[in-house]
Amino acid sequence: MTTVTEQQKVLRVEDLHVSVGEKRILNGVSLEVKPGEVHAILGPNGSGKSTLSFVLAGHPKYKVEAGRVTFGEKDLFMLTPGERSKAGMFLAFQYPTEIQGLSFVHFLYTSMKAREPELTPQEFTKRLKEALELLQNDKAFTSREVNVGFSGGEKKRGEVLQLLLLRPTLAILDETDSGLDVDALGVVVNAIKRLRGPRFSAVVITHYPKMLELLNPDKVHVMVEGRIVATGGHEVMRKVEDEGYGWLEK
Amino acid sequence: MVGKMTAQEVRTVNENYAEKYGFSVEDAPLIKFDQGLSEETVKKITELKEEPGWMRERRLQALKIFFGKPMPEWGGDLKDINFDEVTYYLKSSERVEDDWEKVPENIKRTFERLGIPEAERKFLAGVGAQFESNAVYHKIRDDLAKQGVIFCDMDTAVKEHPELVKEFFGKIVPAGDNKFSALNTACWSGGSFIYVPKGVKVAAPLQAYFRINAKNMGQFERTLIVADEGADVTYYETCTSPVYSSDSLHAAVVELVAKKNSKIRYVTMQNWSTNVYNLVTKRAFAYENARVEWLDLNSGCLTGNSKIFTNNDVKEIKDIEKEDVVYSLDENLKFVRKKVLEKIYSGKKEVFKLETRNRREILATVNHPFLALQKTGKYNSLSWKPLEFLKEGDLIAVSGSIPDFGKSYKLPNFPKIPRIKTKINKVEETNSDLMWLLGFYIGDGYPDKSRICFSLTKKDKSYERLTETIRRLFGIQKLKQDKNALLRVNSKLLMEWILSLGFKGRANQKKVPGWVFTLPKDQKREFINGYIDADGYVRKGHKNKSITSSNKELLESIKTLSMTCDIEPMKISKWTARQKKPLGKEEKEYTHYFLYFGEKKLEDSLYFMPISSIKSMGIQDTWDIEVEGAHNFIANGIIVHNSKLTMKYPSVYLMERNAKADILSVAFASRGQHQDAGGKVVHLAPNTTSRIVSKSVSKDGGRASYRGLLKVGKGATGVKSTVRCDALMLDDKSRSDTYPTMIVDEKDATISHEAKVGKIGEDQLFYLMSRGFSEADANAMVVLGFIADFTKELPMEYAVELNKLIRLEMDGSLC
Repeated sequence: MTTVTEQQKVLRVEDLHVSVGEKRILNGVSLEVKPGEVHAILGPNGSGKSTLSFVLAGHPKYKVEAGRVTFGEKDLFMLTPGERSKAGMFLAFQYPTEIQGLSFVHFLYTSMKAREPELTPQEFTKRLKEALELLQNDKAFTSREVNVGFSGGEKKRGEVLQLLLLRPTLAILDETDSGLDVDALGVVVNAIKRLRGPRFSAVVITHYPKMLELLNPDKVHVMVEGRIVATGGHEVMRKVEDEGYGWLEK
Repeated sequence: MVGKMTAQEVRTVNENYAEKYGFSVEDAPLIKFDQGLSEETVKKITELKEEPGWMRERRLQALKIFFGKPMPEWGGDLKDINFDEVTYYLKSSERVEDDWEKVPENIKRTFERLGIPEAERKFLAGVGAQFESNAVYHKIRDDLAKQGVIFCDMDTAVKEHPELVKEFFGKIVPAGDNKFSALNTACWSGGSFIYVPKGVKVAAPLQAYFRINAKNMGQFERTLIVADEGADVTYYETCTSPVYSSDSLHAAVVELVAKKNSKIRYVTMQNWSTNVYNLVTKRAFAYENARVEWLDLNSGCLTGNSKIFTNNDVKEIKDIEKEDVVYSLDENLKFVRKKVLEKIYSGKKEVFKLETRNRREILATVNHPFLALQKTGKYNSLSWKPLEFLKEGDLIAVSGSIPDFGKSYKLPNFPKIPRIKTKINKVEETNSDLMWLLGFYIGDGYPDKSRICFSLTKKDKSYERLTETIRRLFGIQKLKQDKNALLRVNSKLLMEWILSLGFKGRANQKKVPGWVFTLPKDQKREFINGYIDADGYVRKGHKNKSITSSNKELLESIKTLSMTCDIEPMKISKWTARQKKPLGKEEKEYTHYFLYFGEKKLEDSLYFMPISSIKSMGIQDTWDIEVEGAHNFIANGIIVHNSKLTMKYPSVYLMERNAKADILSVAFASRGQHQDAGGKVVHLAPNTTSRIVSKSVSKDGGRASYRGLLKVGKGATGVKSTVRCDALMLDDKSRSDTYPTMIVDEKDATISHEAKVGKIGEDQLFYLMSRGFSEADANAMVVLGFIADFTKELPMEYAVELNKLIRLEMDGSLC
């Protein structure tokens, strides 16, 4: 077994303030994720959930005004998006971008090869096949161009497929559930459940509690107006499900 | 344009050559050509080639047409071409050598340059086998020959297959088509000839590698491909195929004949420098149910510290600015002053160090053209040759005596120093005496608190001149000669003044100040003489003068300086020894450098020197400059050419029903480049279909234009045509335009035209980067995706090559 101890954190966000242009979006977010934990962040539209995920992954559009984030042992803001990814972070995009002309399978292979130089095409094919089976997707899916002409559901599955193949230590899922029907949601949740273990943590962003019921997170946070206003367990989730966010807004 | 030399000059080149450097060229005169183009020139060409009468007639007829034709209005600005400045020489060669031996070297180098690892090369099994093995090559050829396929150079075809050449030569692109086709028909030389008989399908692509050693491939190459009924052939004019075009004009003609049910695919990957005016007429006739595909890729330096000789200065290429005036060779091989139109950053590329026997050296990319003197048979000829095709022993032009446009330098006032009242005379501007003194200073002088010291004794041969010069120039009378070989000039004012001229620092930090390069030649020479008088001597066992210093950079700049004032510098050599300093305790290692000088003054403007070595120096930043008119310049004392505007519009004439045309062109334009590409399709029969796809990528202020013509003639009913122009811009500075023209004479034609201009989006880059890619990789992936329509049509080895090139390009764009 590894020497993962309770005290270690995968992610520690301290008093994070972020703006885009003139607009402040995050107003002091703090969050700690320990190894093996799955955290959920709920919140109404525009509360800053997606911004948090983009800032963590390093999108250049967002400006960090204050606060610090440590990822493992490292100062996250010292790393480029590529380095964050190689260090084990993965962001499943809410709206994955289309890349014309780039074959999905080639893209998957290159990104895996970038972190596992010894990866053989045989091994890659094997893992790809397993992942596709888990997602109940056929192989034709990967012969297409990255996200080009994908339906909403296909895009989400594409993200989860990358999640399964890249084996991150921290996954940030930005509304991966939206646009999926109940069956597809089940498939996706199963895939994520497969990854659960002491070396995998996740921050799941959603505003539908349905996914969370299936996923059974360790902690649930509620974000409103760029702050985490409530943190707890299933009771928070249920209260949001029953009452919405009104009780949290001032 | 190079090549027009008078007999006198030709002789001079050769004479001096042997005399001065003990290197002799066989007594072979260069071909002398008349001014401009004349019937005589053409007759001479045909005579030298020992051509049959019919070809001679065609050439002469074409020449008449050429004289009568106006310049084409289609395309870019061509008004600067002066046909009288073009030299219509030809490089004589008795036969095309079957010298495949040399090819693998180039191929290997291509692979190494692209950094494709050994393993990957093996993975691309076919490539290795095909490129590296002589046998395979011949086997392919033998197989083809048995099936009746003819693949040879055009000159051979005229002699060995006259019936075929007669039938098709000039049928697709007649001499009268445009001024350039007339010119080509009159002066053509080299090019490929391919004939594929009925029903023969040539599985492997025929490649232009075959032609590398066809020495007569000149600026007017002529290619003809005939696919007989039901035949199928693919021809690759690959990146390693040289563009031996002389300076300002490259007017090639490519003719394709696709007979009934046949298919021809013609692929061009020209990622090397395309020369200034690259006016290629590429045209195909597609007959019933035939298919013609053109795939065309166009993209295209010196490292930053290459020293460019400007009219009165020497600057590193990266510091060259627009409007700077540089020396350029004119058609008489004389140096003229030309303006710099643009400096182009060409990105990070692999560079090679080329060194000549007289120790001139330069770092340049494989595509950079040098002026080469070539012996072919009985004749010598001059041509611009990319570094890629040069090897040790080849002769290239180096600068000799360049014109003197230097001016005396206005000297600064004495610095104001409090409490110093002693007055000394002011020298207003530089003169030979002062320069000699400063040269002596750089060799033997140094500042010491408030005085200047020179290390020499009264016995030194320069003692008199030194003391006399100081007294005369500055009116300083009191000079103190120390017993320990030290002459002291007690003037703080003079010391500060000399330092302010740019002579700061002790021996190992001294530099030649920039303004010295702007002086008249005689002052520069005196400066060097002063240095030689101070520090120079004839080393034991050497007959040439040399100067020595531990400061290699200083010697490098003296070397460059001497080239600009008719002194021939030789090598800089290194000498290392362990010794004790007079008062030192420990033995230390000392390194000295020696710069040797040639014995004679350079008189002629140009010399030809053999290349002594070409070595890879890794990947570096590279630049190119665009020079008005002549397009060549002097870098590090070597004559080089710049790279430039491409105009290419392959065309297909759909002659009979169901014929198909497919034109796919990709252009990369970076800073200072203008890529004008596209395609033309002329529908002349019913139910013909065409597709034109043009992709352009522009970055760093580059400009890419699509120019297309779609014509549907009367009687061509049921025509279907798709035109798509996609432009990708990598930044806000770049530009992309489309100029589509459609002339449709039949109402039922189905024509779609789409134009899309995009920029690499932040979101696309971020998405890729969030998967672990660097910004450069992410950029390259987007660009590659953008041109995937093109790459997917290529065989693996070309696709790999292209990928690597794009990756290198992207690196450049991001630094």
